[in-house]
Amino acid sequence: VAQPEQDGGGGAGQQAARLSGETTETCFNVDPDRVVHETIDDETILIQLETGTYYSLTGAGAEIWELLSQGLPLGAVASTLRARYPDETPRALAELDRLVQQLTQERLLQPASLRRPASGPTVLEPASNPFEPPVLHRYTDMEYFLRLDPIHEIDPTIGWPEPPVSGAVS
Amino acid sequence: VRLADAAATDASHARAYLAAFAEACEHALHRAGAFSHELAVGSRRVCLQFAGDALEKLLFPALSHLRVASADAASGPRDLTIQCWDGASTGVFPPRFPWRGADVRARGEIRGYNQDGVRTLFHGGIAAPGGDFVALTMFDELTRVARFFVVRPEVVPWYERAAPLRTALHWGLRDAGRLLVHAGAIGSGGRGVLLVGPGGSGKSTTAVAALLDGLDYLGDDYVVLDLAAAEPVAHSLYCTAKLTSEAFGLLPELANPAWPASGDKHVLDVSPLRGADAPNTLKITAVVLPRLGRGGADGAVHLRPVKGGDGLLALAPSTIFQAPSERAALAPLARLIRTVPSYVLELGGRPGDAVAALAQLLPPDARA
Repeated sequence: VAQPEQDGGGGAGQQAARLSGETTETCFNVDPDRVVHETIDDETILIQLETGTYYSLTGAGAEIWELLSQGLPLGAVASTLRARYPDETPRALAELDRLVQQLTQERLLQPASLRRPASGPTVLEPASNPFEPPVLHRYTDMEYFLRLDPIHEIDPTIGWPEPPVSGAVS
Repeated sequence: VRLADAAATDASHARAYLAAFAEACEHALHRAGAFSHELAVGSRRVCLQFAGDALEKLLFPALSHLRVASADAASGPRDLTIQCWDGASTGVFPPRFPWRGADVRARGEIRGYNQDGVRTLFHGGIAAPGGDFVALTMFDELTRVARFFVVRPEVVPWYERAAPLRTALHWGLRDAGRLLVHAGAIGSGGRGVLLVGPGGSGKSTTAVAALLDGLDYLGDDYVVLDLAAAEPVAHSLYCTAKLTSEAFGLLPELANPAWPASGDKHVLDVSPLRGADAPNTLKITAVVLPRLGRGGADGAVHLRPVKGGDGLLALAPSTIFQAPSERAALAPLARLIRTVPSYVLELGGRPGDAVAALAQLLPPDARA
C-alpha cells in the first residue's frame, strides 16, 4: 500500500517564499491536460498526469480546493473562510496561504490570467465542525510507470524493425 | 517480405503508416492462415484473429473462457477485431517505423501517431523482466480494428501471456462508462467485489483462495468495469492468476499447473478450477483493499470499512498510469466509489479466513 511521502502539515517545503504578486484578486485554475481531480466525502484526490505523482487533500483542504479550482479570487476564498470559521479566522487564513503555496509549488493550481465566474454556489453559513487544517498527502509510487521509457533503438538509416538476416523472405 | 514504406505526409502520416501496417498484417494472415475466435466481454463482441498458430498458442489460452459459439457471434456486429502476427513464423514484417526513438514516449506511446483516429503503442523496455519485448499495437478507431505485431514468438514475455493484448482490449472496449481497471474480482450469486491494490498486496492469493472455496472468479489483476447500467458490473478478461511461490505454499490445494514466470512468480491457468459454466460477469457491491496483516502466520483477518477516498487512491492511479492516455478514467472510477462501499481487508496467514470475511459482503444464500 502506498504511503504518503510527506505530510503537508509542516516541515519540508514550508519555508518557500510567497508567490510574487499574489493579491486578493489573484485567482487560479487547473490545467486539465496536466491535473485530474475528484472530491469524495470531504477528501480530494488529485493526479498529476505528467509526473505520476498523486495526492490526497484532507481537512478543510477539499473545501478550499473546490473554491480555488473554480477560479474564485483569493480574497473571496478568504471571505468565505471568515464566514465559515468566525472563531478561527486567523488560523484558517494562515492555512489558506500555506495551502495555496503548496498547491502552486506542486503545479496542481496555476495562477489564472483571467478571472472566471465561480461555477458553483459558495456556502457562507458557519461550518458545523471546527476548522481542520488542510493536509496534502503526496504519493510517488506511480512515477515508476512514467520514468521507464521503452528501449527503442532505431538505426537512423533503416528504421526498425528489420527482418532477420537469415530466413528473411524478399 | 517488406512492403513499401509508409509515406510520411504532414496531414495524415499516422493514417498512412496504419494503412501500411494493416496491409502487412493482412498479408501475414493470408500467408500463414487465419485462426479466428469469437469472444464476448459483457455485451461486446470481439473477433480475435491470429496469423498461424505460433502466437495463438501463447496469447489465446488466457482469453479462451470468453469464447462464444460462432453462430452466436454471427448474429450481431463485432465491436472490436484484434489481428495478431509475428514476423519470424509468417515471414512478413511491417514497414520500417517512420518515427525516431525520441518519439517513443512514456509507456511506449508514439508521438505523432496517436491522432487522426489512430492509436500506436510500442511495447518493450528496461522494465521488461527477462529482456526486451519488441512489439507494436496499432488501433484504428474508425474501423475498430486493432493489430498486434511482435518480431518473433519467443520474445513474448510471461506477463503478456498472463494478460495478453491488454492495450488493444483497453482501446477497443473503452467508452464513457466502460474501462479496463487494475483490479481483481470475485463473487457469488451474481454479485462480486473488486479487489484493488498494488502488486504484493494479496489480491491474487485472495482471489484464488476464493475460487478454491467455490466462489466465482473474474480475474486477479485486470477486469473490465462497466458503469453504464444502474448497478456497476465487472467482466472477466483473463482466466489466469499470477502467484508467488509463497502464495502456492498458502494454497496447498493447488496442483501447481503453472507456467514459469519471472523470479518466484508463476502464472496459473484457472480455467480448470472455474469450470465451463462459470460466470464472466458480476454486479459489483463493494471495493476491497487487501493488505498484508502484521500478525504473521497466526494473524487474524479483519474487514473494516474505510473512506471512499482510500478506495479511489487504491484503484485510480494504478489504473490510469498502467494504461496509455487514461486521464479520463478518474471520473468514472469516482462514480463507482460513490456508489459502493470501500473496505480494507487485513490479511492473516490463512487465505480461507480472508474468503470467509469477503463472504460477508456477498448475498448470504449465494455461496456455492
